This record gives sequence, C-alpha cells and structure tokens, in this order.
Amino acid sequence: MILQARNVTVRYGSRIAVSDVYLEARPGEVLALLGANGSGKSSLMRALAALQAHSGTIAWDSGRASPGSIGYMPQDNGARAALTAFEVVLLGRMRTLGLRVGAADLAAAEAAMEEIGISDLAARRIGELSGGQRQMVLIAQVLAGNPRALLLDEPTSALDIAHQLHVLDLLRTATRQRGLTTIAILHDLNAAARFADRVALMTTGRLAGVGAPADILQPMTLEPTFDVHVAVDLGSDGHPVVLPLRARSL
Amino acid sequence: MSNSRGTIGRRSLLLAAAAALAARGARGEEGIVDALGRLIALKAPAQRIVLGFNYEEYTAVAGPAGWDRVVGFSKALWSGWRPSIYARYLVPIPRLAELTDVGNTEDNNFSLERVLSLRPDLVVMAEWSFKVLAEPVRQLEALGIPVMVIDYNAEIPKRHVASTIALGKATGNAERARNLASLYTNKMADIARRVGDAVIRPKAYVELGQGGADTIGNTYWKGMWGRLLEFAGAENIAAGRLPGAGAWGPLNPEYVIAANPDAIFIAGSSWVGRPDAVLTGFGADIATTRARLAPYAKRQGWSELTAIRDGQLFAIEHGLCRALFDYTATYFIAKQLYPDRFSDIDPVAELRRYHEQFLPVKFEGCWMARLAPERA
Amino acid sequence: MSDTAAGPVAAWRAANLRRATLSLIGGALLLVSFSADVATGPAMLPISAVVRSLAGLGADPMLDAIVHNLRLPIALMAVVVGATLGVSGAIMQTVLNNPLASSYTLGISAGAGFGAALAILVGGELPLPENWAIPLAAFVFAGVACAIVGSVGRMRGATPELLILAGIACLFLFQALLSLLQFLASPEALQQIVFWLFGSLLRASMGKTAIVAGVLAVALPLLLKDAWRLTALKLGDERARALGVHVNGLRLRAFVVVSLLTGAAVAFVGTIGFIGLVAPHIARMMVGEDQRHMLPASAVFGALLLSLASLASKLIMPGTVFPIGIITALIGVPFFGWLVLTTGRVQ
Repeated sequence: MILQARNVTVRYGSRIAVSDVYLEARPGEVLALLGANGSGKSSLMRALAALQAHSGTIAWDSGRASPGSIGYMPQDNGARAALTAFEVVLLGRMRTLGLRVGAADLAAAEAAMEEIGISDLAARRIGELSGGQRQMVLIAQVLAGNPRALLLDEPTSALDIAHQLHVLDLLRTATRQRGLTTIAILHDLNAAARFADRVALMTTGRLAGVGAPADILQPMTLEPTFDVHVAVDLGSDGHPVVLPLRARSL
Repeated sequence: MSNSRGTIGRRSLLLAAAAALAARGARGEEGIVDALGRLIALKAPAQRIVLGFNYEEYTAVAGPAGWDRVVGFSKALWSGWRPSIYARYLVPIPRLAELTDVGNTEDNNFSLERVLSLRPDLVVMAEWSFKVLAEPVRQLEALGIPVMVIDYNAEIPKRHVASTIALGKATGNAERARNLASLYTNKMADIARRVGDAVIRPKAYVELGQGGADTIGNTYWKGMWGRLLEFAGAENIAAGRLPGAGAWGPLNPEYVIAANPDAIFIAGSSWVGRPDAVLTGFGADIATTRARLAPYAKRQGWSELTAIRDGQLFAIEHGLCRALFDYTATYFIAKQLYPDRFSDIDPVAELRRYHEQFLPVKFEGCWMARLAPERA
Repeated sequence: MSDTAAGPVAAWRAANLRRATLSLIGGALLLVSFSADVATGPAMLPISAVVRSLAGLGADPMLDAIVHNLRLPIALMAVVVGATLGVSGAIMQTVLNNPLASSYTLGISAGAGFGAALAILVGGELPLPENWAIPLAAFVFAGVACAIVGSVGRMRGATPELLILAGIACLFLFQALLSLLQFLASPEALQQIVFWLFGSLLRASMGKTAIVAGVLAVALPLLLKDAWRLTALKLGDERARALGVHVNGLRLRAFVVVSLLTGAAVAFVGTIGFIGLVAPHIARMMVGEDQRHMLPASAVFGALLLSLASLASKLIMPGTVFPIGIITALIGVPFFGWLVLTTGRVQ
C-alpha cells in the first residue's frame, strides 16, 4: 500500500507531540523512523496505525486506513499472560479467527514462527520467555496476520546482535518479496543504515529530514537531533557507520 | 383516645369471642377453623402432629398424653427461649427429649425436608412463622397435609379462643378446650368490667429484661405486652412510637423519661448465659428476681420517674405473654394500676390455680413481683 | 511438557485435547458432586430410594416431594449459580486485568444487596408477593450499579483502572445505603436482611433455577463470540487495539453481560462470595488463558465448587444446613494462602 501522510499533527491536551508531518512510503521499501527519546516517533506511528486521534490526512492506498490490513506492533510492555507463544502468534490472525480455528490460520501462524525461527518456543508460556524471545514472538504475530503494511515500534530493541541481524534481514526480505510497506522505529542508527532504504529523522515532533541513509545520517543532521558529537564513516559494505563521540550539552 | 371508645372496643372484642365460642359449642364437632379463619381439612383427631409453637397451651389443651400425638417440634423456641420451663415439662413429658427438631423460622433453619420425613398429618404453626413460610405451606397442602395456624402473639381474644378450640378439636380434646376458652373469656370480661369506666388511665411502660439494666430492651405496642397493657386499662407510652408494623422494638431512653410512666414492668425469664437478665419463672426466688430488678431503678434519670418514686417497678415473667394464661398477667398489671378495683384479686393465685387445673407441672417460683417489698 | 518435536500446530492440538479432557473430568466430578448433593439431606434418605425417586419410580409421595421439590432444585441451583459466578468472575478478571477481580469488585453485588434490603423493608407495600419482589429488586439494583459504572466508563474511557475506581465508589455507595436501610429497618426486617446477605440456596425452586440457567445460556454464547478478542486483551490494551480489537466497546459489552449474570445469580440466592474469585484461577491453571476453553472451564469449576459447598453445608452439621456463604468464604482462605505462596515464585 502506498502511504501518504500530510500535515499530521498529534496533540495530547496542550502538548504537541507531532507537528505538521509530511511523509510518504512505498511498497517494497523499508523506512526507518529515527529520533531522540520523546521526539514523537511512537505518536506518529500510532497515528499512522489509526489508533491515535490526529489532524491532517493519512491515506493508505486509496481512502481511509483500516487497522486490519496494517500490522502494527507496539513497544513491548511486558504484559504477561498464561498464553503459549503459539497462541500469541495465532492471535495475529484475529480478523479470521472463529470459535473453531481454521487450517489457514494455523498454517499462517506456524509459517510465521518458522520464518522467524522460533518454532521451538511454540509450547512455552510467553511469560517465561526472555525479552528478546518475546519480541520475536510478537513479530511473528504481526507477520502471521499477512498485513500489507508493517508499522513496528522498536522491534529489535531487546535482541542480541545475532537475532537483531536475523530479524532485520528477515523483515527486509519479507518487505521485498511480499511488497509490504514497512516503517520501523529503530534506536540503532547503524542497523537503520544497513537495513533501511530510507530514513526519516524526527526532532521535537517535526521531521528534520527524509532520505537515503547516506544523506540523512550526517553529523550536520545528527548532532542537533541527538545532541551528541558524532563521526560518520563509510563502512566496508557501502553503508554509513555512525560513531557517537561525546555528548554535547548534557 | 377517649376512654369510652376504648372500653367499647375491648368489650365488643370479648363479646365477639364469647359469641364465637357459643356458636361453636352449638354446632358440635364440625370443621376446624384456625386462628386466621382458615378451614382445616381434618377428619379425625391428628395422630402425627408437627407443632411449631405455644407448647404450654398445647399441654393445657391436650395434656401430657397429647404429646404422644406429636412427632416433631421447633425445639429451640422452648428449650432455648424458656429453658427452665422446658426443663420442668420434660419431667412429666419425657417424650419431649425424643421429638425431632424441625428448626424454626426465627433462626432461619426451618427444614421442610425434616417435616416431610416425619410424615405428619397435621402441621401447626404460629402466625409469625406462617407469614414467612408461604412456599413450604403450599407444598405441604399440595401433599394433602393440612397446615393449622394458631396465634396467641397478637393478643386478640378471638384468636386466643379460636386457637384453643382448634387445638382441642385437632387432638380430640374439644371439651377441655372449650372449658379453657370459657375460662379465658370470663376472666378477660371480668378485667374489662373492673377497669371499664376508669376516667384516668395510668401510664405504663413494659420492657424486655433480657439484657439487664444496661441494655435498652424491646417494648411492645401492637401485640404481646402492648395489648395486655391495653386490656389492663393502661396507657402504653410506646403507643405510636414504634416503626414499621409497630409490634416491638426499643424506645429512645430519653423519651421514656419524658413520658414519665406511672408503672414500669420489666419482663424477665429464665434465660441461660445472660448474667444481667431479670430472672423470673419456676427456678427464681423473689430475692433473686428483686436483685436483678434493682439496677433498673438506678438507671440514668429513672430515680425521678413517678413509677420509681412510688415503688411501681415490677418484674413479670415474659412467658406469661402470648399464652392462654396471660390473663393472670393482665390481672397483675391491672391490679398495680387500679389497686382498689382489684383488691380481691390475687394474680399469682390465679396462675397457681391454672397450673393445678390444666398443667402437669407444679407451680412455684417467682413469676410476678414488685421491687420493693409489698406494702401492708 | 513440550511436544515440539511434532511441530507447533500438532503440539497445540495436543494441548487442546488435554484441556478438553481436563474440562470433561471437571464435568464428571461435577456430576458426582451433584448426585451426592441430591442424595444428602436432613431426612437421611437411603440412596436407593433417592435414585428410584429420580427415575420416576418412587412410590412414596412424601419422599418424591423431598427429592423433587426440595433437594433437586437446591442441587441444580448450586450448579447453575456456581457456573454463572465462575463465568462472571473469569470475565471480570480478564476485562479488569486483575486476578483479584470478581463481579463483586464493581459493586454489582452491593447494589443487589441494597435492592433486596429495600424490597424487604418496603415489601408489604408492593403489589408483588415478597417471594418475587426481592429477587426482582436485587436484579434491578445490580443493573443500576452496572449503569453507574458503565456510564462513567463511557464518559471517561473504559480503562481497567477507571472502571475499578468507579466500581469501588459504587460499592461504597451501596454499602452505605444498605447500612442506612438496616438502621431504619424494624427488628424483623433487619433479621431478614441479614439472612439474605448471608446467602442461601434453600429457597431454590425449579422456576428460579430455570431463570438463572436461561440467563447463563444466553450470555455464554455471547461471550464466546468475543472469545478471541477477550484473549487478546490479555496482551494489553495497546496490543489488542493493534490487532483490531475495539477495546473500550468490548470492555463495556462484557461488563453489561457480567452484570446480568451476577444480578441473576445473586437475586435468588443472596451474596455468595469467592466462587467468582477462585473458579477462574482453577480454570486458568487447568486449561490456560485461551478464553474458548477458559470460559466454559470457569463455568464447570465454579459449578463444582458451589455444588461441593452445598454438599458440605449439609454434612458439617448433620440434620441442619450450615450457611453456605461461610463455607465459600472458608474456601477463599486457603486459596489466598496458596496465591501468596505461588505468586512470589513466578516472578
């Protein structure tokens, strides 16, 4: 689905969290949403997922977005339930689940778990899993619903390096192969540099810049956004590598 | 609240009762009508009775032998409420200890199942039980078991008579029941005659002495002691002061003092486990009764009451109320209020005579007493 | 514990089979308890006679009356009310995200108690026989409590925290009003009120049982329709919304159904506590959180608990019936002890 967001503003009472954002995204593309804490990334994402009141227009494809065909994954808040990992993934099929679970739903859930590589966790209770394992289960849940767009809020924040690489690679592959429109909030600038096709930088509710990683991930834009001195090198695979040096004003 | 109206009311009630009595006598032993006017479908005297209340009345009507017809009763209402009386009756009627306890509505443990398992051919219950047992009564009658209601609590002479006659017919003691009913009616008529034209009615207050002087016990208005006070020609200070149905409840102590009754009657009994209760009845002697009664005279503000200053504080057995021999209590109250009009009456002797004539237990103990020793 | 060798779907199917079996075992135990309940009573009837009477072969009308009019309705009422309370409690714990929630937390039963007390106090004035006036009033005021909390939820957003706050306020309100009524009541009315608050199965009849069963029969399918959405609530409001669940609407909907269930149960038997609290936990232990299994299991185990309590109430003091509210409260004590002991370890 093509995303066209215009003049999006999100207010919580008198506080403005997102201010006049203009954003576009295309199928088959991974867009990384970056910014310091409290810059409005989550609020923007919730607005894109149609779960947050906002002003301005957000259009998916043609017309209004329906949460059903958008796979939104909020930040993990550690809510514990006596559900198994498989059951959690199965919940991603909410739209089609009935009292009798159909073969299609079961197959989709199983496939999603295999894709992520967590089939062996299927019978474990989600409350017993580590933070990283739980995050992977939740990603599988989003994928199981076969969405047309993926909105992921910090999908890899709790993962170790290996799993982070695996998941991001997987997401990019899925995006390309299924033609998904993927927007992910990431904290790791270098992961964003490697796996995102485009990068959007947010500062205090406004978009500071959108473009290819090499263009946006520059000291000129990064330093005011994150309030830190950085050095940006070119990595061996052609992606920029960001090295934080020292804080600026803190 | 005029005197003559009250007199006429009382008189006509008694006349009605006497007339009803006569009419029944004339008709002979036909259908049984209970205290509420319900027709009881009983062909012959019952052989398996479940008896719910008023056990002394039953004994008076049917005698100790009458208990052979009883298969179950509400034990707590006798052994728990009037323990020393129950203990006395146990001697001539040992069967009491073997009877099945069917529970009672006061304690919310009435067991219809128990009653049914006894296969009764008649169930007798007090009016206040009948009121809350609509469903069990329906089931009993659906099974062909008649339910007979007796009511001595309301202190309505017509119901006293009807209950007594009904018990008599149900147990094959119709004649004895008629004698008892006549006795009652005549005594009540006597009282009415003596107080009938009194212009000034003394104020009286009655209180249940179960909790002792430190507890405000219930007083009575529409029923039980309240009605007896009326018959005795007293003005009940509780009249109009009890909420709800107005039957019983505690009065505000301040009001009692403001009302300044001329005579105060504390209803005692033989309760167990109540160290401050006023004790009366078979096992009490006058010294004990007076000792338990004395603290009442020292209640806050009571020393100034007319009743206390004139020595008109009395103890009276609570079991005398809502019973067939309650006329002796009415005599006692009336005598204290109108000593001249009742100078020839000895209420205690009346009670003794009743016991000798109709009950299998020897009359003794202190049942009615004045706090201060009798004046000459 | 894990059948992962067989693959997630196969393992899941196996787990479901296990759960269904456990629920069936619960059902079988329920049948045993129910039978024992019918066979026990103050009349000490021999079991063979009871069985004959149930089969319609009884020759003794008195015995038939005992078995059919007295014991059967009570035993059935225990099952039906237990199931209703179990389901209510399960939904409340899910919807309020609180393992200590029950339908009592939101003041629904306090409202019912107030309604019953009002009917007892005013009973004579109403055109209805007291037998029906009291349950009706209890039910109506359970609905009033529900309406109060529900409208607060509609106005300010139905988050669990808000609903619990509103519910507790409602609880205090009705308890205060109830105290006022008790103060104004005559001694006989007061006694009746206290007995009603104690809770008792003894006034059961087939008609009343049918009403409660009817409400449950209507409510359970309604709840099961939302089973997956309720399961999703377990992951938190945010994630449930992300999955497409209209959380606020679901919460209010479930809440209305719970009020109906609780109102119906409490109306006829008074306030019997702890079943709605304990049964869902047992169900959760046995069959997990998938609401498709957990709701029916809560019904089964709730029914089992109350049926056992009814049986116990007759056995503790042979010849009389021990107040059932006290027995269910006694169940709660070891339950809370167990909860205290296990919660620490799970962390």
